[in-house]
Amino acid sequence: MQTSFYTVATGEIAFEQFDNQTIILNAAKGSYYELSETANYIFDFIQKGLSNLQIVEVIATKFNIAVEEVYNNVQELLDTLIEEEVITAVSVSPAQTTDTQAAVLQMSSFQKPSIRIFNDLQSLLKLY
Amino acid sequence: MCVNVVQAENFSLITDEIKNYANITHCRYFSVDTNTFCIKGDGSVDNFCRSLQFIEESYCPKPALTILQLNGLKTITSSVLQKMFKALVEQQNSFWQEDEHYCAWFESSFNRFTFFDKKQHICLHWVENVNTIHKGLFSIPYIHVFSRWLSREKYVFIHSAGIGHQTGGILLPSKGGSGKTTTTLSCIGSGLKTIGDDFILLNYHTFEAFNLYSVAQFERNHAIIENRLKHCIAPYNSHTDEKYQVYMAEHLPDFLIKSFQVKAIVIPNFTGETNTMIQPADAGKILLGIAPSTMFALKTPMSYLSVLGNVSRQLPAYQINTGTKLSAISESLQQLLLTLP
Repeated sequence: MQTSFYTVATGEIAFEQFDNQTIILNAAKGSYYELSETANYIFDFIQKGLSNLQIVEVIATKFNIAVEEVYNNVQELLDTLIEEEVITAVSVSPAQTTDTQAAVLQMSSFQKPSIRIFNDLQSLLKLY
Repeated sequence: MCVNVVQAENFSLITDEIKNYANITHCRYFSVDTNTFCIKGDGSVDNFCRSLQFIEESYCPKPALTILQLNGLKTITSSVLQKMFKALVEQQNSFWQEDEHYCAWFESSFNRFTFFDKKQHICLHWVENVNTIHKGLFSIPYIHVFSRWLSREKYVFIHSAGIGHQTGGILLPSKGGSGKTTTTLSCIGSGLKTIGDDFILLNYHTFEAFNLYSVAQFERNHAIIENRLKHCIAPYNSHTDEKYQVYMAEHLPDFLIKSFQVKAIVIPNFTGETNTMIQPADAGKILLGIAPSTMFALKTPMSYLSVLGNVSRQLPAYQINTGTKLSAISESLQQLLLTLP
């Protein structure tokens, strides 16, 4: 397990967060995404400057789940977001302060984070 | 010269050339909400105004936007534009260039060039041959220009149909194939009216939505709708792969209204079942329904998502699971409208 920090890519990425989901648009790829409630929290943790291991730690502690299980689930989501060029890995935390306890306070349960990837509108970006 | 004139640093030249066409007499005027615009040029003006007829005015003294519509090379008196158009057609390189002052693009498949001066609100739209281009281009003309002209301060365009009454209505946003047009056209004769079936203009402060394009397009495999509207479809040619188009201002003027207050957003979802059901939806689902197709199609700035997000949060949200019985769709929408404040 290696510590990594992340930042949301700028320019062609836009997102809106709701109570139980996040909608992300990637204009460069013509893709868009729907994050589940747990993935929504993880995406929020990233923006607050938490590393992957900090995210795993606060979730595993709060919900008394094995670290390895949480790590696999969290890292799978982060790897997908990197692959989709929604986030990029950075060497230091992009946020000034990281209050890990406050970050996880609102999370009421942990379910495997999921992301729905939509590629059906890519043709709209094409020039004919 | 031919190549350089389409470079960003030479865009001001195009604006100057457009101004040389100030004396063209063939001009048509339009208004949407309090915004007026004119389309002037050669005979191709009429092709591109067909879907705008419902918002046409007899005259507007000082239109806020001027569109110069030109076809072919015969009517081009400017040597600069002549050379540029010839070069674009020869090079066959589609491109899109946009900055805060200008937007210009060329589509080689249609051999058409569009230029918009965002500060002076002047547009040039040129097509190589209006008689041979895809007829779908007549259905929502100048949409990228209108979206850049009006998407400021208080307006957003939404890829959506609008159904209701003068007193209030609902938006039916959706990407293609989800039943938006079927839902709209199923309301013909039901007493419900429409403000459009493709892109509508929304004032996101007052939530008043406005009719801009009064055209409906649908796929050719939709037998029920096709049979019902056979007399309205233009051109009714079963041998091409273009979508059917119904110019509602010509054939269904009583079905159209200019605006209404939006009471809810309803996402259409075709189920294939007989009956239609409406159920509450959440704001995220609404945003998923309105944002990607609107933003990708209009090539909007990414900041558009925040505005659409607020629209999604503030309006009541529903999903309509449409069935095959068309009359049940309009009945369900009528009932929903009765329950909305």
